[in-house]
Amino acid sequence: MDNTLSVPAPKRRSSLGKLSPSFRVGGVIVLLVVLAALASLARPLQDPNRANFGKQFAPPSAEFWLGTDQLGRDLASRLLAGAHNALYVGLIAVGIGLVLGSLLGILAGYLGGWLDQIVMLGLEALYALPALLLALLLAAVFGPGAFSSMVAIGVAAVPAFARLARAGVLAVKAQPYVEAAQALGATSSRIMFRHVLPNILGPLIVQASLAFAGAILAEAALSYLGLGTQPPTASWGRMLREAQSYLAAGLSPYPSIWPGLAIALTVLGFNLMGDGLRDRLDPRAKT
Amino acid sequence: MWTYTFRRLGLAILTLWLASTLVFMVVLFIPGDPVATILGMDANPDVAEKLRHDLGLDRPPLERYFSWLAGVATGDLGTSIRYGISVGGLILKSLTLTLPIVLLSLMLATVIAVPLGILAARRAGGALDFAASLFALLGLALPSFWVGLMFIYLFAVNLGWLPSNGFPQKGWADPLNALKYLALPVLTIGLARSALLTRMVRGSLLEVLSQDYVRTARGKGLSERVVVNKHALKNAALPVVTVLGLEFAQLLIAAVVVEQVFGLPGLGSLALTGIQARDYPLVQGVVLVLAMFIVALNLVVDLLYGYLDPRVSYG
Repeated sequence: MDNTLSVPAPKRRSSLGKLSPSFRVGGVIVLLVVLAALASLARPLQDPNRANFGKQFAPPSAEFWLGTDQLGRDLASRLLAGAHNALYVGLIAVGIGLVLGSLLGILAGYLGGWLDQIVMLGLEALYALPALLLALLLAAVFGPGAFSSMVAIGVAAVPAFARLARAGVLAVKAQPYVEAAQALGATSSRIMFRHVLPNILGPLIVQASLAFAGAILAEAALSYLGLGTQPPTASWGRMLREAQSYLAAGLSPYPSIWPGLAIALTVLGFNLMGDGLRDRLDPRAKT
Repeated sequence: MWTYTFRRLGLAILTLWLASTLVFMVVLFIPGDPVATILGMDANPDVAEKLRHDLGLDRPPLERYFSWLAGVATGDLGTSIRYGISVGGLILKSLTLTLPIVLLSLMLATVIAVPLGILAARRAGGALDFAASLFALLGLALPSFWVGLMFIYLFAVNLGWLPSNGFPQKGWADPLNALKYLALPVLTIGLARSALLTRMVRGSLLEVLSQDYVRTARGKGLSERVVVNKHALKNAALPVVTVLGLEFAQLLIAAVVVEQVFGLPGLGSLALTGIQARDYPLVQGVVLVLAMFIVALNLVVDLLYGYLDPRVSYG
């Protein structure tokens, strides 16, 4: 059975063989979440916002695979829609952190001098304001919502990316190929983004995967507090917020159980993928 | 050492100044008229004028900025719109709930993580080690507020052992009763935070155990217990101290969220009430106080690290 696999593309197989088990497990989980998010767009189940009165708090059944919530809405369908929301918020937030952080880190590391000092000081100050605090501030000003929470999570992720990028640039800056590019008269921006950036991407990609896990957790927490995604959009954190009082009253545990498991599984997937990527892409890191 | 301490202290103050500036600036971006946002469109003009004056909105931004900074430096964080009393007083009162939660959770996390981490490192690769790794992975992935919900379902709804919500009116006047209301929140946060800590203790101890001086100690014929407890643990503690400091910041944030699960009137609920009432002096105050804690803890950890490890250079 197995030898049929090894024949067609030996080169690819050998590189796949190096991927650690944690990357494979994490990758499969992430793939499942992505598929769930895509599937939600096709609406394979009921509309996630359709209320079924008279069928509130139904246990899992053939009609409602995972049961229903306090409005009789299909939990399975809401869970899929929640995957879409989580990945959307995570993608934007990590995008903000990655782009802004890498840019600041590369500029600070490559140009050095007072710019470096100022950027580092700014990052130090940002460290004192984690995502939740930024989100509280933004919600106080602009009102709570998915936008505020995405910006807060993204900005809070900037320092980690910037530090990694800066450290990478400092290590790469003295390499002969950078010197060669400088001698050839390449502009600073060309050197930074054509020569330096590709060589420091590894750790940044690893961090992106780990930051994605953090963003999913943060989004869930913010939505749970009422600061993130607003109703009726299905969000895992928001679902837990709405389910809580019914759980405490002993009505139905299902609306409280599934979203938490979905969050945990997704976070686990991105964490494992990040760990696996680190073994592969970040030669300096120890396993 | 003194130069380092002063430089580090200077950096902390600079950081706080920047953070408070950020916190101040946010208000400048409030879309439209903040007074109209707070009071609604058809508010009494006299009331609106008074609020505008109280908030200092009738003064130019730069002047407001300096009076905000002066207030922060002297501990005056302004007046809450919703409650009409000083923000500092409100925060102090909620800290009597939030700080005990944070400290108790940190204690619980340490009590779990240190022995578990040591055991896992001593039997690295064994079943217990595997269980500890699994525990750490779960602790990192499970949202703490959800674990809190599950604890409510298990311990309060099904078993009826502990209260699930609120804090007694008498507060700390009846400490035993008060602690009963903190049991589930502390368990929730402490368990979650011990996961990462366990992994740190294990990793740190494993690294130390592979060093030459430990091999020498074993070669001398010392028992494994003496090698671990007397020789390895002290050095393994260093990275853990750093993590404990960072953990404290995480704990503070986790506490703000988990307080909400258990309906505890701490800093978190104070900030959320502030947001609902568009009471931004209150929100600014809470955010700034939390940021101060984080900066102060980073400072303490950095200084402690240098003190504990004579090899750290203060360059």
